Amino acid sequence: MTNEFYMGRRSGFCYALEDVAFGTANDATTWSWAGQIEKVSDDDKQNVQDISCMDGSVDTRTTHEFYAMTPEFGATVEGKLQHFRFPGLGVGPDTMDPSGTHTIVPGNTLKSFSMQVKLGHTTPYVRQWTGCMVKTMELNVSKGDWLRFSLGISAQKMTRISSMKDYQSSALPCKKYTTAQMRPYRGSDMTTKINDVDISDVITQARFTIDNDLLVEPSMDEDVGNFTSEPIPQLSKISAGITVKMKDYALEDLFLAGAAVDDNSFKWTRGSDSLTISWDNAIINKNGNPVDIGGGVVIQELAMDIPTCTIVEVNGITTDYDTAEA
Amino acid sequence: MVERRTTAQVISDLLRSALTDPNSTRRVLGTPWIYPDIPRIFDLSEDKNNFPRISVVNIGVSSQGDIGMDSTETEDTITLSVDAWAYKDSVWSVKVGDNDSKALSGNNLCEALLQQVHIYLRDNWRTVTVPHMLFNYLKTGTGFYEDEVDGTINRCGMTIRFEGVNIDD
Repeated sequence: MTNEFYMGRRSGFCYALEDVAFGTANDATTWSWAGQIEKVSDDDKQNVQDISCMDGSVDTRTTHEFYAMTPEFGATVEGKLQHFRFPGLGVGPDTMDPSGTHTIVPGNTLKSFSMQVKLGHTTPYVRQWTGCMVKTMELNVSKGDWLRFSLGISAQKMTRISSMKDYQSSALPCKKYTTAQMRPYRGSDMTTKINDVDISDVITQARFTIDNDLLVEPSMDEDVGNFTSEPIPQLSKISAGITVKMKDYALEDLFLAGAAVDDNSFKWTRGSDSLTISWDNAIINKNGNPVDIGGGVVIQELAMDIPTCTIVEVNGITTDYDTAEA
Repeated sequence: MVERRTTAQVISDLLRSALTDPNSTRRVLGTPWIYPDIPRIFDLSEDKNNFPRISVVNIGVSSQGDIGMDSTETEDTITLSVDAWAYKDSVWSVKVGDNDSKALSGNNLCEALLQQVHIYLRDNWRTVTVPHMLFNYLKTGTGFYEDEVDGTINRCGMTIRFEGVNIDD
């Protein structure tokens, strides 16, 4: 009987800020708990890189010598959102105040970081990505369900190692929190405002996306001994989407007006903790209205482009966010 | 060491603090009328002032799976049976929702009490948090039972469901 790799309680995921040098993982003391991770999907590729040059030393050309492999590494990480520190890597710098209020505004100073995923097996097996940057950050929530995040991550390197970093010590920047200690946010804790009107009673789904539009540039890497990808942040594109049970024409009128809509926000609360995303100047660019007799109620799907946003999280884990996390 | 209370106990305590005992005689004494177990109907039926009463009983917990990697916590669903019991022909005044109070007896009284429970849980389940972390209250069924104790006791039942984490562990 063979020992297969498997998922479950022996799986694990952690991340570290920030790389000592781009692509070189930080030491053990900064590996952190990222939240309740549900899925890690590898997206590792070897691209054939055409090298455009002439070889004058021989009179025949050997084709394979004029190509190089450019590895491109990355993964998509999905989980339930306990706190915004890990998804915040896809947004920008986190300005903290002593009260535990974190203000995060999109910027072009994305952190590079490392991450590890452990698979269950009799022989320890850990994949470690270094030189990571967040390509896309998406939050999504449905009525009655958890608030989930999904990070599309581009990495410079992936290596296979035999042990996972300890991220459960209380001395670490962001230690492990059980659900009993820090319940992930939920759709039932959510307040939504569009144009300063509370639509929490009719919203059934919400999505918030930041696409950092990373340009993955091949560059030489001495450790790998080859070309390797290096993500470079470009202009971020921010968008949001909501699905509501239609009760009047207000949202449709906002779409038809085609003007910028101010005072919009998603807010999740958990006791005295909260996570708020707020934005102005949104342009509603889609007003889907499937008239489906089987649906029972009329559903309205809206999407909007957003120039910038502010994300504020208030939580009680101030002391666990040290300067390395900021 | 903190005593771990069952979901049936948590819900019973919530309902005790939220609902008014329709039995004015018992209300004066402050005797509980909502319990997290099945009542001993034969014994209790000897005194009509033991009614009406409500019971909250766990009839099943199932787990959907681990909540995340490297976690021993599970996402669970619990189903509870909430039953209302009334003494035949005892009439008590009950107010349901925004309606005026009505004098009711028998199965009508039981139905009204269950409706009170449903409206309260529907509007307030978000306040049931630590340690049970119950979410997504749903009423999943209602029904009548045959009269018990030779037709002396009327009974109506309602099944409700919560989702949560580590329910009753």
